[in-house]
Amino acid sequence: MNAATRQRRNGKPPVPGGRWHTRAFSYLFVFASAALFVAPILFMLVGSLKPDARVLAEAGGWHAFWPGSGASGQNYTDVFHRVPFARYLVNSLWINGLIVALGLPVNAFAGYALARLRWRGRELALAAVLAILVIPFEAIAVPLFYELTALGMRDSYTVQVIPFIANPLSIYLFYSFFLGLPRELEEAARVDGAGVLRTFLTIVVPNAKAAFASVTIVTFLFYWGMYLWPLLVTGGPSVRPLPLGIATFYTLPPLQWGDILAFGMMMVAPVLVIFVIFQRWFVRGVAATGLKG
Amino acid sequence: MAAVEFRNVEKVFPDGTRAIDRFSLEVEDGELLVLLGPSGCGKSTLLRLLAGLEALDGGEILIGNSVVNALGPRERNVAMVFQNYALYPHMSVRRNLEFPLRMQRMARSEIARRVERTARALGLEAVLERRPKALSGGQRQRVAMGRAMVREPEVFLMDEPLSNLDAKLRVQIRAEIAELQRRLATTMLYVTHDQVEAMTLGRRVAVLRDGVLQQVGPPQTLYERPANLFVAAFVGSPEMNLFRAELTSQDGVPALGFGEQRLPLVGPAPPDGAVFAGLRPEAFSDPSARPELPSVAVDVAAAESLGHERLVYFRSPVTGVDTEGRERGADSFMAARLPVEAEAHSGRGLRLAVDMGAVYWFDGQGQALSA
Repeated sequence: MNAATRQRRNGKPPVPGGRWHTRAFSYLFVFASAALFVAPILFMLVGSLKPDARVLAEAGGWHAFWPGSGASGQNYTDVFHRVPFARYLVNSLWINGLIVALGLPVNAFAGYALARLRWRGRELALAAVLAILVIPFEAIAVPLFYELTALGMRDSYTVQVIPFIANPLSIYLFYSFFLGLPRELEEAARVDGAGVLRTFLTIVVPNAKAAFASVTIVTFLFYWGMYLWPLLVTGGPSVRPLPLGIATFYTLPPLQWGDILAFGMMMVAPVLVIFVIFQRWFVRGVAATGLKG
Repeated sequence: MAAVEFRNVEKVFPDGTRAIDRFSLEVEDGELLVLLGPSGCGKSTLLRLLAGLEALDGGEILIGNSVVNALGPRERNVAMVFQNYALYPHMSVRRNLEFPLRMQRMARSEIARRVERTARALGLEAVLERRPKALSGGQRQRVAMGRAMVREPEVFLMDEPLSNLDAKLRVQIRAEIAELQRRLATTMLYVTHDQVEAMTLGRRVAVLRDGVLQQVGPPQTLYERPANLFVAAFVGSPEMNLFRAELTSQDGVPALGFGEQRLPLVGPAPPDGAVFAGLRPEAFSDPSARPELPSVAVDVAAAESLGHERLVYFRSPVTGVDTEGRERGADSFMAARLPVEAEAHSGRGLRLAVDMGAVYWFDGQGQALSA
């Protein structure tokens, strides 16, 4: 088929190199990438429905992704019998909920103060936020542990929440978003008679839903899987979150992989639900906060 | 309503730019004063200083005889219309109009009464429940006006409020603003870079350049008696033809050199110290219509018909200068405003009569000299 024929058929000039090749390659790349990310979740889902003996036996081939005969919810029932899953789940929801709920106003205020207000030391504070952003939590975990132990906070929800309310990443996300908001909106509000706080609450916050949504998701996802800190500061299941719950299976012989996968499935389900619900806002928020690319 | 006064106002930006330099101006109670100047001349900064959105670095601003330097925006009782309208996107038109009144903790019944009255005055009743994004450009502009009006402020500040509208709508809204200001009789400072807007709206126009007040006066005065080269060139379209004055004589009569040609000077002699001269495009005419005037031959570079008149551009036979008095170089052009029936074609020669009584004279510093 020559170029003229192609042009006649689709009414558009031919694209050098052939458009369908490019599209086919794009789709192939997208599907391969998606498969890479979906495969572990599918493996976990299918494995959680299989009898324990088959989980490892079929792990090496395509059977790992096919439940076959004998699929059941037995592993899920076992999880509830062997560990206090509901307690871990409630703990995780409570801890993460508090971190998000308390963190949103604190970090939004901080981001706004850095983006819009003029005060002595602002540049220094901004530099400090950026510097803290690159320090891994593990580096400060031990001194923080001693500090909060001295304050008598061990083995509580408080000790798992307080250190994470103020978050440099959240502050930076809010800061970037607020910088991009049209300044005239706030100036109009000030001329209309609103003070700084009123302007923030009635004009800025309602126009920053995308930033709030993305910070909520990022924070929730990040702390949902937190392991090291709860391990350091908690002693029993009464205040421990899900990641420590799943770890107890390794100390409860016999090692039941089906149970572990069922626990894992129930652990990621809330995160997936939240992500799917807020995905639209998340994408918009990440784009608006300047993190894209 | 209140008078406004700027006394030696200064503003220096953090990077050292002197945005406003010893600016003094009085605006009468109920007056509509237009601040006119090119982009970056400091006119919007003046408005922001008056609104309290920027802090002064020197001088005083008075609203109604009270110094407001230390007052925040909300204590100044001024209302501002921004260039991009700055409507609150998450609020309906009604909520936008209510916002400044809610900030004053006004009674609900009074808020409702004022909003209804303002919406009626601006023809916004049908769109009160809509969000700004569902409005046309003209409607958004009216909502921004309404949000300013509903407060019944002492001073209206308008920061290029028509620049986002198309040409037709701009003319319509411009007339509405003028009518509104007359009806409300509220002091208004109106910032624009568009001289047509300035000339048609303001009873007085203040021309700014690089943060310095160049001239203030009625539009006709600015046009007829510009204070300097800058005002002469900035007010009027096409701008005044400015050139280095070559004073010579022809047959014993003082004359102005126009390339190889001489234009005998009629009336009073050029003032002492005249270095630059200026001719408005309408100083040129068809020699057959004005046979009593001296005429010159020019080469037409371009001719534009505007329907009611013809603008003719020709290569300047004299040394054209800019507003600083700097020579424009060999490629400078002059403009002539002729009747639409005038025969002018690019690439051809043309004779133009020159009204020598309409020559403007400027000294070496670019200041106007009276003949």
